[in-house]
Amino acid sequence: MDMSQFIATFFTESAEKLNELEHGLLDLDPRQPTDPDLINTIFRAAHTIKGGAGSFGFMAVSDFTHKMETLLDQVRNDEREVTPELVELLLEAKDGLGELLDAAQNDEALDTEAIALIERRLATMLNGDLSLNPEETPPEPVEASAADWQIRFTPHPDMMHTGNDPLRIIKELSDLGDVAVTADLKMLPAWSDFCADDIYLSWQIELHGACSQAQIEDLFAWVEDECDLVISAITASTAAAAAEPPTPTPANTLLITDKLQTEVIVERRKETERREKSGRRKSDKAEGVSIRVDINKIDSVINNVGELITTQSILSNLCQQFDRDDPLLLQSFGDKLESAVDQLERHTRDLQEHVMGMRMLPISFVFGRFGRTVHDLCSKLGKQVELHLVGEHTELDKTVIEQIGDPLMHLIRNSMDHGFETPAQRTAAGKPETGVLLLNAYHKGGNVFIEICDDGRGLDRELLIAKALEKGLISAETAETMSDQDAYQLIMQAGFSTATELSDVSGRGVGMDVVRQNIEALNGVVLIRSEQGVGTNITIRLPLTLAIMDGQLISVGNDTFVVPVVSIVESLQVSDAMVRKVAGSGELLHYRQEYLPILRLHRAFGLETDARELDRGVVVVLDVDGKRLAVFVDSIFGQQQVAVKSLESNFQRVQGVMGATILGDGSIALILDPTSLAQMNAISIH
Amino acid sequence: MATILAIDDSVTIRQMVAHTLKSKGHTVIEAVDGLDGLAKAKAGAVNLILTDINMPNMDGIEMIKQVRALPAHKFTPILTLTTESTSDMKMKGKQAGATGWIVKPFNPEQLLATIDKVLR
Repeated sequence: MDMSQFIATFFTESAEKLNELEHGLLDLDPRQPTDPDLINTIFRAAHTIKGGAGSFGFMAVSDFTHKMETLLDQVRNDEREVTPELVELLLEAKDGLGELLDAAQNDEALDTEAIALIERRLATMLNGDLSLNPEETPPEPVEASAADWQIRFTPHPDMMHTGNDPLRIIKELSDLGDVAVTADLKMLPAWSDFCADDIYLSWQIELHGACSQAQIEDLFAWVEDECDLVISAITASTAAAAAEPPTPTPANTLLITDKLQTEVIVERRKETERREKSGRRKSDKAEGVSIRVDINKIDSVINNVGELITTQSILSNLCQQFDRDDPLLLQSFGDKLESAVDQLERHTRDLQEHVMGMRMLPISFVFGRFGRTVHDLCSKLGKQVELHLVGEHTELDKTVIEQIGDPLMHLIRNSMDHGFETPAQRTAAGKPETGVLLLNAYHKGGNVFIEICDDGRGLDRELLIAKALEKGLISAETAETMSDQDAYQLIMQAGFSTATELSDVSGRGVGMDVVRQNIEALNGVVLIRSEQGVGTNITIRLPLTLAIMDGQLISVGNDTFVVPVVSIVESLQVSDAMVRKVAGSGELLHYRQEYLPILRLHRAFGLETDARELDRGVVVVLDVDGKRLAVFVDSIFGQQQVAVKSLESNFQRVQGVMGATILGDGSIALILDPTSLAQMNAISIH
Repeated sequence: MATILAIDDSVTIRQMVAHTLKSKGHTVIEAVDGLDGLAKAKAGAVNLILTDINMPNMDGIEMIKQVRALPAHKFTPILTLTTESTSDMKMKGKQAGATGWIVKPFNPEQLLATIDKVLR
């Protein structure tokens, strides 16, 4: 039977279990009493990988995991203490196991020496204090073999209570040779004492057939504690032995059995190799292609398909009714056709969107690996940092997930290396010894935000400016007027970091400018806030091209636009008295003790409208990255959920617009991008 | 053909077991842990139970004890799937009420042979 179709499942499951294993190990605190649930979870993760690997014949993986599992089993049974050395070794072993699995999956070359070294260290730890070697079973005693056996089988009365059936075993015995069975009825009770669930019989069985005692015992293995069993060879009389064809002597039988076993083993090995090879070929193709999808997402696709089928049947109906000779019918036919095609179009788009939505993955895929990074860097740098994760379920497109990992990793390394102080420095500064690194992800507007916050030493504005001056990145004039935000942004500039500052932790020859480039390549933005002595907050804003968001419908002239509801502070009607004209700054709206720049949308987009005066329309106040912008429109309608479609992928990037959506009536509305609108306004003023 | 309840937290093992059994025409009910297994054992007629031991939420040992206590499953064959080649786990399963065991890793033929043995 071909089991190779399940190999992909095995690798996916193993990857998940490796993750669980690592997280569990990171949570394992040698200073605390061991949490049995935690150690069980870790044990099970290893156990599952071992079981699966064994089933597919990945013996290297299975043997390696067995050693890890044995150590974990000892911890589980309170036979071994959790020491930092144990945790470190198991973490390294986990990495090694990951490599073994990768190698098995991709047929890659493997650093067998490194693996062997870890394996030896596992073995040393296993044997070091307890000299346990569970694989080693005592050598099998040489089994007697004979042609005839006498078996006395007395089941305990409750044997059937474990689902065992003495008749089944007797039938199996008959597979080994001819049997003569005599039932012993003398334990049968009086009818009044008879219990139908219990066994009162015992059997005397004579078995005629060349088999070993072990073969017979095997049949009774499941019930050996539920019966009294006596197996004895019947010594054949000399006369009978002479008359019969020579029976194999015990030695002979053993020899034959050995040969058989050898053949079986060789055959199995070949089978294993075949399976490994075919498995590898299969998984090569599957690598990186498979994706786990939430069942709800699949349901909505199925829903879409249902809608499409309905539309298709409407269209088929129409075709049947089609009669080109009847001018009256033709007119109504055209209308019906148009509406059906509209419907088809809408459903197709929905389907497309839902299928694309399957590509959305929670950011925990990326966040997951940072626990280990922080743990490793803490021991390497002699720092104490706790990692807190928030919003791990925030979804991002698979492509973004794949590409955001490296920049995030770099920012975290950077924060660990430069941001956090040593415990001594922290104590001196009046902070808790253990620092907190917070990774926070959330959706806001049409964007995904990822924050990396540390409570470390913060950025030193003056130091940054001085360094930028020294490197000639900024002029002395700029330096004087530079805002804090701009000064912090300097660390992201090419040429700011130099080789001498690169440590082996955050360095790796890649500067923060590469991080910025990577994020900008995803149409993202990096914002840095910092306070000296308090900490640094690096926020990455990424556009969410496939989001569904709440939109406020507004109109200008004949056009309808959508404004993200989250960006709207309020909407109001204004009078001329509230507006100030300021040279160089355009129009300002005096509103709640603030002056807000006004953007007239019809002017910005060059649209015709009757509502040109401010008192004839509505002003929508938007929040743009903490600043406000008043946008003047003709009128506002209702709110509705809209699916954001990218313009860039089909057309090009348009200033002030983040995408488009299809409204309920089938018409298209552009979705406004508040950030970009604010930039448009600033540029138009200058 | 029999209805077989297969309980294992490893999706790989579950799929393999289910595929093997279904290929011989058996009906397979899958459960992801002891708790799930217990619920499914209570829910309907099952001729045979195959269960892993190490599972989250409720382990196989506890599940076997509880299933065995149900009148409907007083005599139902229950086989443990165990990687432990040591007699320890096998015996723990037996003491809880299991009929026997199948040692992992097993190939489909071994699985089917063992199952035929208890079903015939």
